[in-house]
Amino acid sequence: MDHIVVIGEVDATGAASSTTIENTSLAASLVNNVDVVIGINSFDASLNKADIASELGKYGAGSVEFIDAGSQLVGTITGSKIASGIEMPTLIIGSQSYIGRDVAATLSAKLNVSVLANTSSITIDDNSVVTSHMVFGGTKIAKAKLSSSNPIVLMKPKSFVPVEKPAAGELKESNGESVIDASQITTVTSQEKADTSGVALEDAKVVVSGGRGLGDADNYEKLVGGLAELLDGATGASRAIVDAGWVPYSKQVGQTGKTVKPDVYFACGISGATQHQVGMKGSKKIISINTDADAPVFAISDIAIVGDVNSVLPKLIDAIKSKKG
Amino acid sequence: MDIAVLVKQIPDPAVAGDLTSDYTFKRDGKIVMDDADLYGVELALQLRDDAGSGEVTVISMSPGQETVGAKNALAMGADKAIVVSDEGLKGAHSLATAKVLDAAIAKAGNVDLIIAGTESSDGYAGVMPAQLGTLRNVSVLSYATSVKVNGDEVVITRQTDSGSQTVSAKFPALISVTAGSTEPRYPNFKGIMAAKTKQLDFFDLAELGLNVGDLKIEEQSVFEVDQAESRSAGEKIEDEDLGVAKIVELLEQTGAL
Repeated sequence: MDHIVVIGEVDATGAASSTTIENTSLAASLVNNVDVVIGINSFDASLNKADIASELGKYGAGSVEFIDAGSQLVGTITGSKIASGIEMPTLIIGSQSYIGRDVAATLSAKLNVSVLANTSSITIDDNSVVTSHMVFGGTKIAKAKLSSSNPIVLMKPKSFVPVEKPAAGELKESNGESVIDASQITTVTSQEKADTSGVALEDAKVVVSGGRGLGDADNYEKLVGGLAELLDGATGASRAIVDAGWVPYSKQVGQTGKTVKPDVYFACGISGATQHQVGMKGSKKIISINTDADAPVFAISDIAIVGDVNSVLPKLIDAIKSKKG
Repeated sequence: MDIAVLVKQIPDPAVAGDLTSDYTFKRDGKIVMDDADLYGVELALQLRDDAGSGEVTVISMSPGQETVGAKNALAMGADKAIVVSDEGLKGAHSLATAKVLDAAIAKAGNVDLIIAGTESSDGYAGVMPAQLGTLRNVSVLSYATSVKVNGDEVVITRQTDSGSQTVSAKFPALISVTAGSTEPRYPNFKGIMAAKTKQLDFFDLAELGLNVGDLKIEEQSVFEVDQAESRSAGEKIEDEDLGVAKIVELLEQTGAL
């Protein structure tokens, strides 16, 4: 195994996503021959591809290929295009994101190779790939061995700390629209980017997350938003309130959302099932507020306040304001 | 409109999970329908009823003979169910599952739409729907938060990593739907009674024309499970004012304030 293809992606600001940088660097730590492939569509016309390629080159990408899906969804097109040109044996690494999952799934079906998901580390041992996975809410770590010649692995975000390892970062561009059959065509008619103002959730030193215990979206905005703003932090959310439509998916922390490792994490009105804990248990300090004294999140919290967030948070906000003067 | 809706039957997530000696999920306790699939079932029923004709077929797979998920979907209002059950499916990864469901859907006849959840509540890989759509060579519309039918097209709004998109595709297609995309109904007494007489067919791998070797289940094998580093619980505080003071103290210590 001496070649790795990284399934890359672009974030809402138009830069290489932090997981793409992590995975490129991870790949470069394993082999010397790393290529990154990024699927884009016609709504991404204003991307600065040269900047993205040179940024990923810093972390070990020999080439960065942009595959244009035209007006179609990038998952099917990018996966099919990579599958059509792959040479054996190649390890494929993507991130456990929506795009990463769709590209990997397409590749998997095309190459007849299974996908190893939710991975926290990869090593190449005697030419076979060994992966680690957090199971049962991160209480146990399972190690797996992959016997395929084209293993496909999806990494959880923040599993690898990127280090610079300069490589060519050669920019390549191709079109992927004709790589699929007519029966698979999709048409993207509009595309919206989430608001990227404020501190990015993944990079924030303080994350204030809210859940159902807040009662409604207005309380989330006022209390969770208010506290985060005071501490120059970012706001996060439990899956329950994302599903309820209070906040966009980009705020979701947990198994199927973002992984955060801030200095201080607030879980406000979140019971903190294992699915939520997986996304935040790497935080340095955890502060939880919940009316339920048996809330699972209390078991991993440095400070656990048994109380109503709608009464504790206003007091906390006042106390911080008076400290700041 | 004829719809196949996928339903997973998983070990009860309310009970702490465990692994067998060969590192697959233990399934000897209570098995339940994955809540993440309720939204797909609800959507399938609504689309069938809006179309005014067609059938909703529930498709499920399990190594044992479990039917709790299929029966729940029938009680909600689905028309019939196919359950693939075979000892050889133990430890099946997502691609093996997609191959089996592909063959099971073929038994349901020509379907216009396949509906799945976005990921299961036990494995969380979240790749099976797009694997299945690719195997069937149909359009894959993933992570739908809303779904509409417009003539010979299905139009969805979907969550993306960085925002949202509106996407359309011609039938047949596969859609994965997020939780919260719709409000699932509860089965009523009439539905539960009616479900008892609805068609529920079992197939094993041989009856689907599949060979367990073709599923390549051994391609991924767990060989070791270790305890992860654990966090210990700090103090539980019931006095709100004391709690606020403790938080301020910790914020000052960490430099956040």
